[in-house]
Amino acid sequence: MRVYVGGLLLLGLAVVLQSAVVSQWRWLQGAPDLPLLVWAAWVTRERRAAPAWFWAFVVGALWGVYSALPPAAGLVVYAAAGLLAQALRRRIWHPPYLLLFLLVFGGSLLTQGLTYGLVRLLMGAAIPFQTALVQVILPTVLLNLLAALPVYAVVAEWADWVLPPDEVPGL
Amino acid sequence: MRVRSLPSWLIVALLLTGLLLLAWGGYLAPVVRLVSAPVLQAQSAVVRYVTAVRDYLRTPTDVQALRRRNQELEAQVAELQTQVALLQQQVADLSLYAALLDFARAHPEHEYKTAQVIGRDPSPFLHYIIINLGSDDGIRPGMPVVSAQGLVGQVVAVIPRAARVRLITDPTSRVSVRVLPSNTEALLMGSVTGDLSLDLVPLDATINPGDLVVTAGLGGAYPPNILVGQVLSTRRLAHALFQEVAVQPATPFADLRLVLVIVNFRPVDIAPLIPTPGATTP
Repeated sequence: MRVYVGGLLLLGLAVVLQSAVVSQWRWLQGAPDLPLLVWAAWVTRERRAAPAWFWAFVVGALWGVYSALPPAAGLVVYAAAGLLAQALRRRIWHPPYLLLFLLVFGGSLLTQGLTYGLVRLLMGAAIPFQTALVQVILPTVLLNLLAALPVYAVVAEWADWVLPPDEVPGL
Repeated sequence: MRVRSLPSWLIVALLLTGLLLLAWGGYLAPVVRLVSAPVLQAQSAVVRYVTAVRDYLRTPTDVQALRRRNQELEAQVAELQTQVALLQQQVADLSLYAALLDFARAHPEHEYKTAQVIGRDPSPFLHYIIINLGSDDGIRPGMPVVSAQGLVGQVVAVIPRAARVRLITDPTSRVSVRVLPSNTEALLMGSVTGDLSLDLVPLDATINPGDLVVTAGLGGAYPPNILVGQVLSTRRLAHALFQEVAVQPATPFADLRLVLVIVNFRPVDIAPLIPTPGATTP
């Protein structure tokens, strides 16, 4: 139970911080995606309590509350990242940093690409793909990769505090 | 006859008196200088050594006292720095409020409510802000939002304690505007980069950099004559139907903290009046 409350608090805080602060840290038009980073670090660190898609669902729901896109869009965007995490977690078991960076890289491309598609499809925004790629998607991916390790360090501390290693079920 | 010798104390007293008189008269100065120099040197040395020993003995107490005092002063400095930061924040807020008040005074035809920007859309593709006023405060979808400098956007969604505002820089934003002084009407469009441009500007329209762009009021979404920005550049392409006009927004969107919501403006929904393909006319 504690791990669910801890995860919800952590991801909720990440979405609030993203809306209040992090979304203004721009490079070109890209900004770090803190909910994605926290989610990636959390599912990398905490493998036993719940599947990755569960936490992706939580982030997507919270993200949808803050975004102008329809709430279901957040679920779709992060569900894709959740599927990616499920696939990667089966193949990459031990080195957490490899999984983390693959999740952040692939997840960033997936979520930003899907968001771009949904913004065009649902909101009718005429954004040229090249502009989106150069101004938003690639800067966001790079910023996410740069911020992945510091975020992982914080999330790992939080995970150890919420669920000490000797209390992890199955260990 | 026996001569009585003088008492020794009298002899000494006479000698001392004589020496004093000689000294006061300045006759013994060389002797005093000669004698006093080693005495003073010795005295200085004694004082120096005694002071050093005393300082050595007192040092631990002094260091503790200094450390304690240093901690007190550091705490005081931290407190004062916090106060200074808070006061600077208040001064900045006051100047913002004053600017908003100036705007409200300059446009007395509207009623305003001041709102604080508390969030932005988490996606970089969308240019939306979240303000701390909602339906409990009388905010309704469609209400225009302005800053002290000019137009900000429009309320698009409301919950009891907050509202979402679409900025005019959003890629989906369209605002009917007028360029002054030529009175040319055009459509202001946002973009994912936050740049503003004018669409539907005829090639023969006279528009120059520096011209003002204000809301036209057409379409019923915004009240007329709210400053939007200034023309930055114009470009006429050979085979294009319209000019390309870039606009510098008046509002600094990157540093938006306080906004005014125009609460007495009722937007008009003209969507039913727009003919759709396949619709039959009675």
